[in-house]
This record gives sequence, C-alpha cells and structure tokens, in this order.
Amino acid sequence: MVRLTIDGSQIMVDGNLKVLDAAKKLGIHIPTFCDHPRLSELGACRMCLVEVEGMGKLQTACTLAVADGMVVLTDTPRVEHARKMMLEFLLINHPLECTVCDASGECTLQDFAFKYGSAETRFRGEKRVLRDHIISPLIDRNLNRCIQCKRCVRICDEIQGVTALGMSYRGAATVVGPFMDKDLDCEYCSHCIWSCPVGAITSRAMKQKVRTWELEKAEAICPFCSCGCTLLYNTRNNIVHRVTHAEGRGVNQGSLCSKGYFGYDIINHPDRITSPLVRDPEGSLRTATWDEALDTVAGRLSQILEESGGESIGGIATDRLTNEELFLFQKLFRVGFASNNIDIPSGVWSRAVLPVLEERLGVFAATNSMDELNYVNALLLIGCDITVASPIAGLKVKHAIQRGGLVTEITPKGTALSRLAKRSLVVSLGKELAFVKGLIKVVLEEGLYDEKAVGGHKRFSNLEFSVKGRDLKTIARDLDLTVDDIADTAREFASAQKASVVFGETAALQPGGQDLINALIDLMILTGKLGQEGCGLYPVITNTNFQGAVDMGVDPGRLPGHVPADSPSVRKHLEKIWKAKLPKAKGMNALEMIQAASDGSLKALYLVGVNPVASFPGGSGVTEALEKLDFLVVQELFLTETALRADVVLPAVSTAEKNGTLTSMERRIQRTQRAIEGVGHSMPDWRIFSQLGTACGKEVMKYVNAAEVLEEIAEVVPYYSGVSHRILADNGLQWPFSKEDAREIYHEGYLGTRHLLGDGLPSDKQRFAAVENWETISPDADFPMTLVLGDLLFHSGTFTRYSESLNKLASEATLFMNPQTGIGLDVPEGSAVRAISAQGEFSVRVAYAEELAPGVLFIPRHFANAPAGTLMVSTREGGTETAVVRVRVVKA
Amino acid sequence: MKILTRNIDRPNPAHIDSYLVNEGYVALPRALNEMKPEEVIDEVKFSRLRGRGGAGFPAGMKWDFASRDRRKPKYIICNADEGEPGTFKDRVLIEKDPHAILEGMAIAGYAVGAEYGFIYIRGEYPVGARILERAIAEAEKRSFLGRNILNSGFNFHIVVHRGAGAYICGEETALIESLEGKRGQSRIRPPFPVNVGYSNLPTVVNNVETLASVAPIILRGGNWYANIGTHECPGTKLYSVSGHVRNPGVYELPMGVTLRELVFEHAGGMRENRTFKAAFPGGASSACLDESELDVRLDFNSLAAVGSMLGSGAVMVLDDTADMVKVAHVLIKFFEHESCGKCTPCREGLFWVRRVLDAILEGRGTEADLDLLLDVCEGIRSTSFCGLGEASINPVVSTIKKFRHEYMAYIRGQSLAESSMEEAS
Ligand SMILES: Cc1cc2nc3c(=O)[nH]c(=O)nc-3n(C[C@H](O)[C@H](O)[C@H](O)COP(=O)(O)O)c2cc1C
Ligand code: SF4
Ligand code: SF4
Ligand code: SF4
Ligand code: SF4
Ligand code: FES
Repeated sequence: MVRLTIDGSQIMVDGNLKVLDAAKKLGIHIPTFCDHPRLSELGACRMCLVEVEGMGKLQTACTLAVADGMVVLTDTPRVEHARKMMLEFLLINHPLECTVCDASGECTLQDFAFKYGSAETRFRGEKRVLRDHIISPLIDRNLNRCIQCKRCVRICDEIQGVTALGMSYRGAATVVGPFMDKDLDCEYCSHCIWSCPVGAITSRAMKQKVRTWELEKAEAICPFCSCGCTLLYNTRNNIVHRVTHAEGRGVNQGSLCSKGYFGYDIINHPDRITSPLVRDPEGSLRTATWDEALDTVAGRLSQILEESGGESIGGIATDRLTNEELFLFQKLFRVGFASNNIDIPSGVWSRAVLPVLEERLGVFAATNSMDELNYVNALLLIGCDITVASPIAGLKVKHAIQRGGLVTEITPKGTALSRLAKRSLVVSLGKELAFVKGLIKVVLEEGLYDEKAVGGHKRFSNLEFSVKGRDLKTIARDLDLTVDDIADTAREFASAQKASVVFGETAALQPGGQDLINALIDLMILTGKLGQEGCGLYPVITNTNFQGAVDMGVDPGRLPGHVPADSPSVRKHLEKIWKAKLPKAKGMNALEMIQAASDGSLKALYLVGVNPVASFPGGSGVTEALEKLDFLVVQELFLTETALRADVVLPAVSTAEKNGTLTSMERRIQRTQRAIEGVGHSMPDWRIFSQLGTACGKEVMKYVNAAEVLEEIAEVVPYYSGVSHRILADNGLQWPFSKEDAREIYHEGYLGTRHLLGDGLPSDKQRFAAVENWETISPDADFPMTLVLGDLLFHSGTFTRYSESLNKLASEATLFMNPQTGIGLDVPEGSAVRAISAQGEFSVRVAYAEELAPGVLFIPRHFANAPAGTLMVSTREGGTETAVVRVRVVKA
Repeated sequence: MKILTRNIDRPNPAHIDSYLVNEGYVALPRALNEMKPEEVIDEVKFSRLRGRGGAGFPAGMKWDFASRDRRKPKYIICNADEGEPGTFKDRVLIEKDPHAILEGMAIAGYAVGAEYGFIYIRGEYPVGARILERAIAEAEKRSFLGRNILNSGFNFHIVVHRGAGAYICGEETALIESLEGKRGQSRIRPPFPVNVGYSNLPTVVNNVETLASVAPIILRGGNWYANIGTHECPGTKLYSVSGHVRNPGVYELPMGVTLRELVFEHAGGMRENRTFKAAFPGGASSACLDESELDVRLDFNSLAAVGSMLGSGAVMVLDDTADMVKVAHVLIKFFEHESCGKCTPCREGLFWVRRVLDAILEGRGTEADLDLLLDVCEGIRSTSFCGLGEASINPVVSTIKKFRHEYMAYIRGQSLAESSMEEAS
C-alpha cells in the first residue's frame, strides 16, 4: 500500500495501481480516451495528463504507477491547457459530423470537447480526408472519425483473441482496419463497436435509425445460449433498437457474442405473429381473439382428454423459455391433462448424458463455474467448438491461454481455438475414446495418478486391465498422432493444479458417447481432479435454459428437481399442493410422441417454440405424423413450417418482452426483465399456460405474474428452495444454495455454490468405469461417413433464421469436407451432392475445409436449404438432437 | 586520434584478417579469460563511455542494470538503424570495421550474461547487412562467436535483422517491437529494456558506435579512455558533417571539439565565397546554432547548455544561401512523415505545423502564425509520448527564434532567399 496526495486529498492505495485508478477512488475525474480498464495500457491519447510534483513533464495518469508520497495535481492551468491542446489536436482532422453520427450523444470526444475544449479552433486550412470503404455488412468503419486510441484493436486482440483489426500506415495517415484493408473476417463479437470512444466503428444494423439519447435501457439476459449473458436492450416506442453491453455486469462482464449483440432484430421483426390464429372450417388460419383461441384449445384438449386419456396428449417446449414458463408447462400437462408426455428438443442430454454424471458423480449439471475456466492450468476440450457452442465460456478459455494455461483440443474439425491452443488434435469421430484411454494409460504407467484419490479404489486393476489391450504407439498410430501428443497431454493434465475437462455435443451425442464420458470421469478421478476450484467437468449444452428445463421437470420421466416421476413421496407432496392426481407412468419423449402421432395413438400435440418439420429426425415422416393429429397447437413468434400446419397458433413473446428467471450452464439462476411490451397481442408463455390451465378449470394454474410462479418454484422445486427475486439480486445465484445464507448475506456477495463436489467425491462414487471399448462408432459399410451437425458462431438453432443481421453473416448451409475426402468422392468444391442417411436425404453444395478430419463432414443445422436435423437417426434415448449421423454422399 | 576509425583505411578492411592485424579479437579473450563479468562492467564504468545513439546514457550503468536482472535469456541489441537525417557514421563502422562491432557485442554479452545478440540494421543498408553477415560467419569459424567461444564455455550468437524503413524503429523500444514482429511503435517506459526488453526479457540496446568503442576500452583500460575528450563526455566521437562545407564526411575527434574547429579545420570550411549561417549539431531533431555559437563545444553537456543537443553527432552546416523557413519546412515534413501515429500531439500536431509552414511559404501566413507555431510546438514537445515528437519541433522553434526575420519576409511577401539568390548570381 502506498499513500499519495491528489488535488490535496490523501489516499492509501495498492501499489500496483495507476494514478488514474487512485484518482477514481477519490472521485476525481480525469478525462481519458485510450485507457480502458480491461485493456493493456497504451498512453497514446495524452488526454489524461496531470502534474506531478518533482516531475518536469506532465505525466499520463493512466500509465503512471502510484508511489509513496507522490503529489498529483489534476486541476492546474498547465493541465487545463494540455487538455485543451489535445482536444484541439484531435479536432483539427475530425469531420465534426455529429449531426449524422450514430455515436452522437455518447461520444467521448463530443463530451470532452464540450467540457474541456475551447469554443474556437486555431486551425485553418483543409482537414485530412482519408479514403474509406465499407468493410462489413454489419460493422461500419469511418476512418475520419477515428482518434487512433487503439481500443478496438486491443480489445479484439486482448479480450476476443481474434486480432481482426490493426493499424496501418503512419502519422496522420494512420488507419485502423482489417489486414490489408480487406473485408472484415471475424467473430462479430461487437467489442470493437462499443469500445470505440467515438463514432469510428459503429453498428450498421442501427445506422441512422435512432438517436442515442432517445433510447431507454433495460437489463436482461440474452436468449440465445446457456452462457446467460447480461445485456441491455435499448428501446424506444416499444421497439428494441439495439443491444448494448453492461460493462462489468454478469457472467460476461460486458462481453457479448454476435448473436447477443446483433440478434435483437428478431424481436420487432415484421413477420412476428401478433394475434392468435384459429383454423376455420374452410381450413385456413384466421385471426382470433385470445378468448376464442384459448377456449378452442381448452375445449379440444379437454375433450380429447375425456375421450382418449392423458396418454393421448403430448407437449414439447423449447428450452429457451423461462423457468416459470417451463414449470407451468409441465404443471399444465401433469395437472391439467394428467400426462407425462412432455419433453424438450434437447432431451437427449438429460437422458443420455447427465445421468452418467448423476451416476458417477452424483450431480446433474456441470460441476464447476464458467469463471473458473479463466484460471485453469490445463484443459482438455473434447468434441467441443467452445467459441461457437458457448462463446463466453470460450472467451474464458482464451484468457486461460493468455495466462499460460495449456489447452489440448481433440476435435474432428478445426475451431477458433486451434490457432491459440497448446495443441489442436484433429481426431476422427469415434476415436476420441482411444485418446482418452491413452491418457489413462500414460497416467497409470508413469505413476502420475493421485495416490490419495486412488487409494481405496476397488476397480483400479480393472482400469489397468481396460487399457492393456493396446500399446501407446498403436493408439497414436491409429489416431494419426505422435506418442508425445498423448503422453505430454497426460503429463500436463495430471501435474496441473487446476485441470478441467470440457466436452461438447460431438463427443457426448455420438452413438457411444457415454463410454467417452465415463472414460473422462475415470481420468479425472484417477488424477484427483474433481471437487476443487479449477478442476471441473463441463458438458457444454448450448440451449439457453436447458438446465432450467431439466430442473423444472420438463421430462417424461422426471418431476421438478430431477426426481423420478414415479417417486411416491414427491408425487404425494406435489399432489397435495397442486390438488390433483399426478400421472405415474413415464411419459413419451419427443420422438416417441411423433411416432405415436404417426400411428394414431397420440391425438393432440402442443408445441411451444419448436419446429419439428424443420429440425426433427425423420424427414417427411414428421410432417405426415403431424397431419394425422386430431389437434395441433403451436405457440410461436413466427409462422414456421410447423405453425402453418397448426389448428391454433398462439402468439408468444421473446425474452425481451417478459419477466422471469433463466438458469445458465453453470447452474446460475438469473432474473431477466421485460424491456418492451409484447408485440401486438402476443403474450408471455407463462401467462398463456396460466390462462389455458384456468380455462381448463384448474384454479391452481392461476397466477397474476411471473413472480408468483417463482414463489411456487421456491416451494416445490428442490435446489430452488427459497429462491426469490430479492435473493437473486444482481448476479443471480448458483444452485445449490442455502436460503438462509442467501437471505442473510446476499447483499454481501453470496452467489451460491461455485463448484459442486466441494467436499470431494462421495466414497460410494470412488470407483472406475474402466471402459472396455476403444471406439464409440462402429463402421457401417452403407453409410461410411460421419456427418457432424453443428452450430455456426452466428446462429442459434433455427430461431436466428429470423435475424436479418445474422443472416448477413451466414444464411445458407454448405456441406464441409476435407479436400482429400472431396477428391476421393470426385465432388469438386461448389458442386451439388446428396447426403443420404438411414432416415432421409437432402441436396447441398460442397465446400472444402482443410481443418476437417478425413471422412468427417460438417453441416450447420440452422438453415432451410439443408434441414440436416431431419437426417438424424432417432437415438434410443429419444433426443431429437444428435450431433453425429452416418451418411453416404453421392453426386447430385 | 584514431580509435574507432583505426582500421578503415586498411585494404579490405572488413575482412577478419585485416581486423586481426591490429589487435582485433584480443580484448574478447582477455575479458573471457582474465576478467569476471563484473570487472568488464567496471572497466566500462571507469571509461565513463556514454551511449552514442543520441541520449548519451552511461553504457556501464546500462550493462550493470541488465546484469543485475536474474531472468534469462538476455539479449544484446546493436542499434544500427541510423535513421537521423544527416547521420552516416555507423555506416562507416559497419562497412569498414564490422568485427569491431561484433567484438563489442560479444564482450557486452559476456558482461551482462546474454547469449544472443541482434543487429537491427536499417533496410537502406543492404550492403552493410551483407558485410555484417559475412563477418559473423568469419568470426564463428574462428570461434569468436557461436558456441563455447575460444573454449571459454561462453556462447554468443548474433543475428542480423533488416529494418523496413521507419525512422521510429531507431528508438530502442520501437526497435524491439519491430524485432518482435510488431508494428514499430515506442513502448511505455518504465520498465526499461534492461529489465523488460526483447520478449519482455532483460535487453541492452546500444548504438553501433558505442559497441565499437568497447574493445579498445577493455584493451587499454577505462582510465585511458576517460582521459580523452572532456571530463563529462570522454572518448572520441564520430561526427557526420554534411551540408555546405568543402569536405563533408565522417570525422573522428575527441569529444568537445568546437563547431568552429570541426567546420573550418577539419571539414575544409565553407564553400567558396560563402559564409557560415547556421548548423544543426545533432541532426534534424536538434535546435540550430547560429554564427554567434560557433565556439560551442560539440558534446552532450555543452550543447544541452545552449538548448540544443549532440544527438548522434550529425552536424548539418548551412551557408548564407540557405532559406531557413524552407529548411524548417523540409525537416518538419520528415518528422510528419515519420511520426508513428501513436500519440495525439505528434500525429496531429506535426500535420498542423506543416500546414502552417505551407501557408507561410505560399505567402498566406500572418505574424500571429509564428506565435501559433511556437504554442503548438510547445504542445508537441511537452506532451508527446516519445523522443520523436518531443524533439521533432526543434528545427522549427530554433529557426523561428534565431531567424524570425526570414519568416517575416515571407509573411510580408518578400523572400529573403530569393533576394540572396539574386545576389549570388
Ligand atoms: C526517434 C528516435 C530515433 C532514434 N534513432 C536511433 C538510431 O537510429 N540509432 C541509434 O543508435 N539510436 C537511436 N535512438 C536512440 C535509441 O533509442 C537508444 O537510446 C540508443 O540506441 C541507445 O544506445 P546508446 O546507449 O548506445 O546510445 C533514437 C531515439 C529516438 C527517440
Ligand atoms: S467484432 Fe470482435 S472479432 Fe470482429 S473486429 Fe470487432 S472486436 Fe474483433
Ligand atoms: S476506431 Fe475507434 S476504437 Fe478504434 S482506434 Fe479509432 S477511435 Fe479508437
Ligand atoms: S448467445 Fe450466449 S454468449 Fe452470446 S451473448 Fe447470448 S448468452 Fe452470451
Ligand atoms: S511522439 Fe510521435 S513517434 Fe513518438 S509515439 Fe507519439 S506519434 Fe509516435
Ligand atoms: S488515457 Fe492516458 S494516454 Fe490515453
């Protein structure tokens, strides 16, 4: 700690701080342009000059370290003159087009010129005019407004790790832009836009649409993925005009990704459904009132319930809904229709993946927090393009790399991290297991295991036996890797203090994914990497509120809190509160429901925010199955392919238009708040469920607001016991939490449980699965290739198809393959092919990508031109999402 | 007195055999075999050798700082960027006595505990770069460089790196950035390169001439060297004399020679029928001296005392035909072009200063412009990030102060230069 004096006030501060920070603590404002708390120091703009006793020259407060006894003056005529001078310098070449500049109103140059500048300029003559051009469909650059603070350049490099921007040329001719001034090719994370203190980098999406000072800001949670980012909707007249970041807030601390920043145009999209639609006797959908629509739905469903029973009614809801909505959805079905036929599209995760974690570790979620990824010393990333699947978690991994963390990526396809990771190993699908077993082998042979952790293990010898079958050389050769690739990874992982494992859908959702997860858990137990800070197992599940949906019991076999549906005690408890008999038998999962519709046993289906026609496996069979239903209700924002086939369409709202809570991938329950009223006559999903329940005569479905639903959740859902808006406060709460602690000390920063297994692995879990297999996918002569269905960085499911902005970045699917594969198949780049699976086929154009393993194909799942989801083979767990499909590719 | 230029008149001077004839590579084995690294540093400290790159920082102190930093590896960088207009003395050493530089670097490496050296040479010296590369190969063959030098156990490797033409890359931290493959721009100091240099590791950056002075100091002792030149600025200095003198060229003289002696005794005096008007004693970025200052000594302290600087010792001499406004304009154009663009005052300010000088030269100036120029220049000087901006305005400020009437002539619509031209013809 050092003591210094600034403008006569003394302060004690940490010796690592800069004078600028110390002044801030004293509430003394020093104007700055180039400084940014999250970026490296630069000292370039010279706006922050201050006088320091004993130093002849003025000093930049942003770079000058505090020192004991230092005396700083920020308010002298010399300082004032210097500030005037800097502004005069900056303005001589500035175009002063505040009239049309989108930054006007929140431009630092404008503000400082007004506050510290001089009203006159002494510069005569012509300003420098730099030739400019459009560099991107979404990001506008205006060179002449640039003040060369390099915040955009530094943030792109230091925070986003992309380095898409740089400075070229020198002196007054210096320009900022992409390499060689080509088109911007980047992650569109938006950091550069909002870090620009002036209007030199702006969003084209809101170009001259609204003046910044007319906007109102409302904090909410991003609807597009499970990171659960905090963002600000900027609205005017019930229209969301842009999203801005909330600096220092939330898990993202202000960072966003392309979807969070640019995807808002879905909200006020002209194609939103604005009132309920009911199919008239002639067979066309016509506008209806809510009363009419809800009465129709309640009437038909009650009738079907009476005639055919609850088993004949099913519902599938998107896991983008809030906890309150998901809770009411399952309650509506269980209480209103006596049916357990409820599911989310990503149910395969809750039925195939999480149960492995539950069985092996006793947890039903990622063990650790996202934030801990920032500080890992070693990380195994298996089958997960984390930058795409979970952009903010991906950022944290990038930061770990910057801090010297050793990241090994095992992937069928190069990723944004390949360039940055210690090693990026392209391994064919199905062979990841051999790699992990190779790691276990090295750990065992070199004695790198954790004695303490391994001490009492009964199946230690089994584990040894399970990796005996192949020697390391053979494993390496088969994977097309070196022995060191495997051995060094194992050594780094075992010796790291903080070592974590992240796996994604191409690992978890392949046919033998459970074996792979088991082997990963074995590795973690063996090396003692569970149950402490920085040592975690993370399944990366992209779907926004997947965790909430599972917690709320939107599952044919589980009640709220992951409790099996036939648990007598819990059912009894719920029956008392809900005043209804709950169905006992396990319900149907999403695919079984489609199957049942097709064979006529399912009569009515209620789809909320899901579009099976475009994304469920089964190809045209799905459409046919839906047509066979007696009654189809679709609750949606848009008239999707599926909604067009509905008997009643109920207009729902986006996250921006409702209140509620969401649970992120790290078990963080967060509040999201309404920024605008529902578009047209649309209603929040929770209200629709509530009104429908009431219309079906269920008084227990009556709620006045979402908060009231949360109160009930707090009462009946394990892990959520005691949750309330008050204790969720600012940053939410990670379950499990102690409600006493939360109530007492929430304001002191109680955030719940950062990592599960805090007391180590329970002793009954201390054993190895000792997986016998070496491969997870067996060869199939008819379908020799593996097709990976994946996400693009710029899209989220099929939902973001409605974002015009995001469509500018990518709007069409192509089939990616290694050039070698392409040449082998005799399909040149750009040629059309047919991809055929056991379930169906589609045609698409080919693109070559070097970073794919031979024999592995990749296709984005978002677009209508290639509905890849329909190719999928239904898995035994009945998920409608799988990441890997066996296919054959032929020339079209 | 020939210390630095002792070898340059030999036939085939760059060849290692020519160097060996005259006690070449005698100092290095002596340091390696007979002296501890601290003793080498002490010897350089005794010599009071000051850096010849411009700032005149004591070389022994710099080495001492770097040697005290325990982190490894360390680096020696020879600054051969020689970008200051009017400077061409490093080139003579590079082309005519490359081994003197290499020997100095190896000794420096031994003294501070560095195993690697870089020579950052300006791109405009392709011949020099090739000569240095050949010299390195020669020295490696004879075990004066490379692994286990002369069986002493000491390793020292040198790599030549060619610059890409930016003046700012002569500034040591910008040089290091450029060497690391980044955009050549100065870094924040502190920390200084002696602690956080190349790859953020301890690094000594010395000018060519500084390093070439090392072997003679080790050979004859620091005290011998300290007795040459002036007390504060010992040793000999290579002065690059250019401009309107009869014999422009590089002159090695004891530090502290007067401007008069340099111009009139060594450089052959002014061109025929011309009289001395002004000189920039330290290159384009120094303040000019006028006739009344001919007796100023050309060393760091004496020049600083009259508000100018020795810099790299580039003495640009002008006679009575020189138009000082045009001189200032040409020089400021150089700096405007070379401003790296990082900081506001230098980037925008030099643009502005040049525009005002344009206006004056085109007859659109006013007397108020001179005050404006001085104010803007003071703004640039006092707030720029690095030495380039800080010093860039010296030619403008000094010519306005010493030759204000020439500016006034333009402002009033008459050209002094023109009239003196008429006179001459
Ligand atoms: C704008 C600028 C340009 C410079 N150019 C050179 C140069 O070309 N050669 C050089 O040796 N030093 C140059 N310097 C000085 C170096 O920064 C550094 O001080 C010097 O290389 C240290 O070596 P010395 O201690 O041996 O003088 C320059 C400094 C500035 C501010
Ligand atoms: S949007 Fe992000 S990745 Fe793209 S240039 Fe800006 S900061 Fe870099
Ligand atoms: S574009 Fe904006 S952020 Fe980037 S250097 Fe220019 S002013 Fe700074
Ligand atoms: S999509 Fe995910 S990472 Fe992107 S802003 Fe939204 S929550 Fe954050
Ligand atoms: S003073 Fe000039 S050269 Fe130095 S950092 Fe500033 S702009 Fe660059
Ligand atoms: S804020 Fe300090 S120099 Fe820019």
